[in-house]
Amino acid sequence: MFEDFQFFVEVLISGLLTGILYSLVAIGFVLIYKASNVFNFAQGAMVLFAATTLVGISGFGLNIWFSALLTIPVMALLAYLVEILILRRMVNSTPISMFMATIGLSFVLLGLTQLIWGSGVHLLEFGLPSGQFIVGDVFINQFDLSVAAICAILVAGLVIFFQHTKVGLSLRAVAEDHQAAVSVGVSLSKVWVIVWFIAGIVCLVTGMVWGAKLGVQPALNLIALKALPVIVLGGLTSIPGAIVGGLIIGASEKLFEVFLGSAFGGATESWVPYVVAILFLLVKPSGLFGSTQIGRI
Amino acid sequence: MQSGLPENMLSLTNVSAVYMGSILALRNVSLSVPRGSMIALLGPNGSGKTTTLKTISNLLSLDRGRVTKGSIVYEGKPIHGASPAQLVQNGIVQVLEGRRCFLGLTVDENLAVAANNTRNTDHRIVSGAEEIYAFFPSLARQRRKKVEMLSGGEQQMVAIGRALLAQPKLLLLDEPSMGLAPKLVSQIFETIRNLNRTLGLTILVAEQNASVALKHSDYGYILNNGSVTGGGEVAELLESEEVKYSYLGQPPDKAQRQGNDLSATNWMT
Repeated sequence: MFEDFQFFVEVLISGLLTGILYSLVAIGFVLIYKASNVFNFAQGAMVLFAATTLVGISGFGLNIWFSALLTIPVMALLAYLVEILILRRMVNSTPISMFMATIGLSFVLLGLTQLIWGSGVHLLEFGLPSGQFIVGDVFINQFDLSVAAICAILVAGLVIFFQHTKVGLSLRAVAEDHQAAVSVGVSLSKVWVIVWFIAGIVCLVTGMVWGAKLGVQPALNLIALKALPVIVLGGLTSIPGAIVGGLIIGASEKLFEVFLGSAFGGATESWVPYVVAILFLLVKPSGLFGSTQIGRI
Repeated sequence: MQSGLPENMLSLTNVSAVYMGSILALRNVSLSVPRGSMIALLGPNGSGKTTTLKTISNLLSLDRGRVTKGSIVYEGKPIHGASPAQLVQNGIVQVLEGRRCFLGLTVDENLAVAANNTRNTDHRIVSGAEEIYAFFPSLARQRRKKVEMLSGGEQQMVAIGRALLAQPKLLLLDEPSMGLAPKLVSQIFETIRNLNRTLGLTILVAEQNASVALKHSDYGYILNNGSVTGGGEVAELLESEEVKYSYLGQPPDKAQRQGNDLSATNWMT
């Protein structure tokens, strides 16, 4: 009985740590959605683009961390181009048109990535520990734990940026009310470039940890799909929601697979998150932390 | 232009505007806003008051609208096509209908957004947030509260304070009375008039509550169905039958109606 419990805890922890990886992808969605009301279908492509660019740069014999540093201006350039070529031109269009535009962006990025760096699988190794360590009687994967630490640092950085800087305040104002922000002088194009850049950094970090886990390959694009149930669960407008949503999805899919998976023929991880999300939609359509509008007249 | 008016800070000439490429919202609107004046823009729901203000601030561009003809001249220069953010830097600041505060941010933060994003240094009308708190002491006591906790009147103060920190030369106010108790409405208009007088701020205010708006303004324009159908000095308007009947709730006086119809005293011509 006790051993069962211990196994349960192990599975739970491993699920939670995987969930953090989902949270990372979801945070990218939330950032862009809040600031520009765009559901960015190209999020996965951006992750792949960032990771592949990083691997490509390091292919010139550069240190992996230095390559990551060099990838940052590339993501800034991408954000700038997205603003000039897409957002600025579509400022008047409906959300569905914007969504379509990001589908287009996704294809362009995927094509561009393969054109420049090829479509092979690349290893990405930046020295994260890969062993296990033991707390009490529970085995914990060191790689997953380091990823959790990286995620925590990233989130802390985002919180400091949004809560304690002038630019962060402008971004929050835009997220609250675009038009009101513009009415007091906030420049939307500037805010969009900054937000897409930050989302680009989040994509880079996501690409690094996922790449280290699975290898950098075009299939990385598909991890964006893993973020969808997370967003449904956590709400499209909340970063804490993205984190908690990721944890819930990660834990529930792992627990389901390990304890009930055999009854469903295994490989349940590919559909359980969506079932959880749909059940959740029935109960709380705005998500755990999503904004429900409180009107005051 | 009628004599006795100071130089115009803003003038619209035959401006037409559409939403989504085809829905006509304004038709040949002409109006002028003399420097230092407070002008009321009156009209029923859907008459084009908001569109007129958004045409001037170009927030229209965020509502899928655009100007199709006519000219808008501000401080002697045409401003057609300038971005809303650029217009704010040049001193055209709009307080949106329904206040539109950043509800999830604190009062301090709401004000800081405007102060942080204003780069102009040549026409500062308020020194900083402290001056806003001096205008609105009830805000000072709640500066660290989220704005969603504040009453409607206080939110209107936040919206006005925020706009002032964007250092306007021309303040556009859209329905400041909306949803407020009658007593608060008078207070808000007294405050606005006070800003107009003490800061020398030029103000164009769109308002459905004609009596309170006219009481505190210098001139008024009347919009109907997207066109200017009348306008005049406040005293004239208060006497005109159309205004009395349509906006002030007074029954028409048939004997007077012939001689004192608004269109006959259109001061714009």
